[in-house]
Amino acid sequence: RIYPLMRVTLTTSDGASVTVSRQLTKHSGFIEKAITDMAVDDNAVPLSAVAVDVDDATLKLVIEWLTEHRDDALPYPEKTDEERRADDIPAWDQAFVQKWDTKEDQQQTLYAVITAADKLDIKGLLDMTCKTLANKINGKTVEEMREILQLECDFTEEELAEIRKENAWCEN
Amino acid sequence: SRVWSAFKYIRDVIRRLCRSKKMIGVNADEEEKDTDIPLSLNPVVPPFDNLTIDEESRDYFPILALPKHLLDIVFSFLPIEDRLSLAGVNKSLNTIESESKYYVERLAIFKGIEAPIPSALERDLTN
Repeated sequence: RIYPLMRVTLTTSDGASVTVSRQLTKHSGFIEKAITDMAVDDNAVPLSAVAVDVDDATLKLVIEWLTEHRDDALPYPEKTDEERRADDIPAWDQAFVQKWDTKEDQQQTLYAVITAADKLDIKGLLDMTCKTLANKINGKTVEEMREILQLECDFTEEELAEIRKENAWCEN
Repeated sequence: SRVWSAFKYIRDVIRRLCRSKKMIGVNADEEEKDTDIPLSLNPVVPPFDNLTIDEESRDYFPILALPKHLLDIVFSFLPIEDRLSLAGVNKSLNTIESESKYYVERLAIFKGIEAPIPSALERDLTN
């Protein structure tokens, strides 16, 4: 008999504990699998604590997003390559991400949430945050991308010329 | 201050190289006080223990730290023009982009001699 587990305590990588409703954790493939793996036989009482490799600050953001999306349909609808677009982020999600703009480490926050969504297997949050990153790059020149991503050009002049030649067909 | 620390360091180096206290005119008290300044084995970085370098701390997205499968997802939301631009940023992104599992579904190539070509490619190939 598997006991119905209504609440789950998540322990973060920095030692904090957060208790959340199962209604939220059902969107996380990682947490659901952990709970399922713990309750494998009739005598087993499901453990309520699941360790997640996410820090407390990031997990709070993840939970905030999950709370808003607790009623989203499951399983998360997979889209074909042709259906994938970055300009369909819901208004609430856009405002959720824009709140980070006031933070000094907004880019690091976005990185932390993307990797957390991946570790916790929350497909909706992962798609939304990857779209957000794509939108930061979308329409930018190569130089602007280097500036945004803080990357140096390590091509030789010959290699750059070759790339320009290869990409000439795509230039407007 | 940084200037004073740098001065003391250079002075100590010169002192040790010259091995002559009289050449640089340092009195005995000051010399005794400064003898604890270590010489660096690194010719570039002097051993300034109390020197804090004002590094510009800029927030940026560490895209190369993302696992490959996450980069694939990000690339999947970009039109082909942006993906090619991203591949031109540096060698690492060029390699990652070329190995990305997402590819252009279709490509329209028009060939014409007399009639003008309205568009050499479809603008949004990935949508």
